[in-house]
Amino acid sequence: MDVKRDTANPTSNWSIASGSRVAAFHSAMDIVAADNQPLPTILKHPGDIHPGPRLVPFNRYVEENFVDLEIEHVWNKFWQVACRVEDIPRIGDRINYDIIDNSYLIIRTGQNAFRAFHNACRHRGRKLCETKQNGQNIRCAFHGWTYGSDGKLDWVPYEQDFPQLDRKHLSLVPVQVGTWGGNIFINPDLKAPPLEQAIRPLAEHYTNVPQEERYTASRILVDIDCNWKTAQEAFMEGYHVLETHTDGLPIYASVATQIDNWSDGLGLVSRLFTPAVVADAWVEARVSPRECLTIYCTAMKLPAPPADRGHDLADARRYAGEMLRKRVEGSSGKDFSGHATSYFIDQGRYTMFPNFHPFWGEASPRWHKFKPLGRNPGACQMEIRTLLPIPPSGEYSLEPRTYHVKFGERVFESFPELGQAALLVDQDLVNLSAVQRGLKAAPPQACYMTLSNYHESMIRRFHEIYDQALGIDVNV
Amino acid sequence: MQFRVVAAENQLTEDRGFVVEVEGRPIVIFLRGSHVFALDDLCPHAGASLERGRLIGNAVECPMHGAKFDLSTGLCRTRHVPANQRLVTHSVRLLDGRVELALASEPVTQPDA
Repeated sequence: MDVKRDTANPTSNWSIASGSRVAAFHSAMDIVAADNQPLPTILKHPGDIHPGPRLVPFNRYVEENFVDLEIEHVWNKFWQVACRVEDIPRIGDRINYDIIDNSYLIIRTGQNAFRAFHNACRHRGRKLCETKQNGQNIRCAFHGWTYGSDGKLDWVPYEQDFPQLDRKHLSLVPVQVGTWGGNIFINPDLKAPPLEQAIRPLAEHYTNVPQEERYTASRILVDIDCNWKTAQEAFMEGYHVLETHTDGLPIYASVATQIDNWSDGLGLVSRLFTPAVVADAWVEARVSPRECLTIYCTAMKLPAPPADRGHDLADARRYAGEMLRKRVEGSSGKDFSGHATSYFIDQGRYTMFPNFHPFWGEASPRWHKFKPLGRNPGACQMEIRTLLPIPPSGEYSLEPRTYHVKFGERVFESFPELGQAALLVDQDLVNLSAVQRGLKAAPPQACYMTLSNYHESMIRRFHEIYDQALGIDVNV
Repeated sequence: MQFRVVAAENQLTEDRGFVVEVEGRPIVIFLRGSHVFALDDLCPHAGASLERGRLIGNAVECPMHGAKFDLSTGLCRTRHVPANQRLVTHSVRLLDGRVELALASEPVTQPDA
């Protein structure tokens, strides 16, 4: 590896490690503009935060005291997705949301109304809800103490033995609850600003593609031997595509990924936007638009392009968009005209601190969520929900298939029917437990991240918020 | 203190450091208004050059991991290195369009890694 000097200043001490460079590439905005269609609204509002370099020590990924700091400053304070509305479809349905030792009961109290409480009986603490159930009230299985769906203590057996009982003060302890896009969020901090503020500008971006008109078609739960932040950071940049998803180079312009970090609301939302059906800058000289399109259609199981289609970039994208539009209209019975090609094929991957990642568009209609599993900082669970449009009949399966991939297992091997999406996640899984082991093996003088200026800026932003939340002032 | 000419004043700009080598030692010079500062061009954290660091008032931010150093004292204002690990500073002055520098007697800054 040669060490190159900065030719602009021959006496400069700046020693650039050798590496590959991309001389020039079309930006994401250039690529979308070449579609010659009205720009999707979500691309009209660039991010306004450009995080600078910062120290991100490894201890937050591997030390148990950070588990407690995160409980106190993150899980007890920030809005987090507990479930979706279709998980508890009927009035009286309730489900538990557990994270480390915290547990919450979420109950549907009306057509579009929900309540949420700390999931512990006020008598002697028994966890009230351990799985999805239905009922008119909430009854403890230990002694039969019964609460209304509003959390009020309604009925106690052998009440005469509790002359000191003051029902007013023994109701279930509420937490904040809010919904967006069919996702039910809770926040244990009653003083936290409302969900409407925390999700900005997500809600504005999804205005004409409402997520609440979708249902869970499948859930994949993947148990991973790494910290929840390690896992999610692998999905917060496109820089790793070159090495980890090399077979994606012909069909995703990862170098052109646009990153936006917004200060809107509470400054919790960021996005990666990667154009699809475009060869990455690394290989574009070797992949024609038609070759790119053919590979994309194979990967996405779309009809192969006829001989006269896909000979230039814009038409390749247009064709793929037409096929994806046909598919989603066919399966949902809904009209998707009026959406740009970009909406059908491009990757718009949002992130909301701390751990929620909804995808915009129809190519990967899903969200990701990452949560710690227990008190081991080296264990987490990734949840992938595929969300499809609710058909006009309003009927959809209330029992989506749940695929549970255990520690050390691979998604495709366990469930080959999941196809290309599974293979993609498996390529990331190859790295994740090795990253966790490396984080622990690093010596004291070299146990911090070195993040790139642009492509890893979403990760810089995450740690900016994280440091502020935990009161860590190492970069102040 | 022996001053020697290391650069011309018009080689310095407000937005970026200017690196010179004096007796084999890399030195970065910053111009802030009418003041000029000179420090070892070696971040004590991980040895990065500060030449392209962002200038924030009278501090430079290391472009590698964001460590912030006071330009006049070389002390790290953030927690990247312990308080006693100073970035060595040198005496520097502007005289008739020349930048003159006197090397500090301290040995060159040693990075952690």
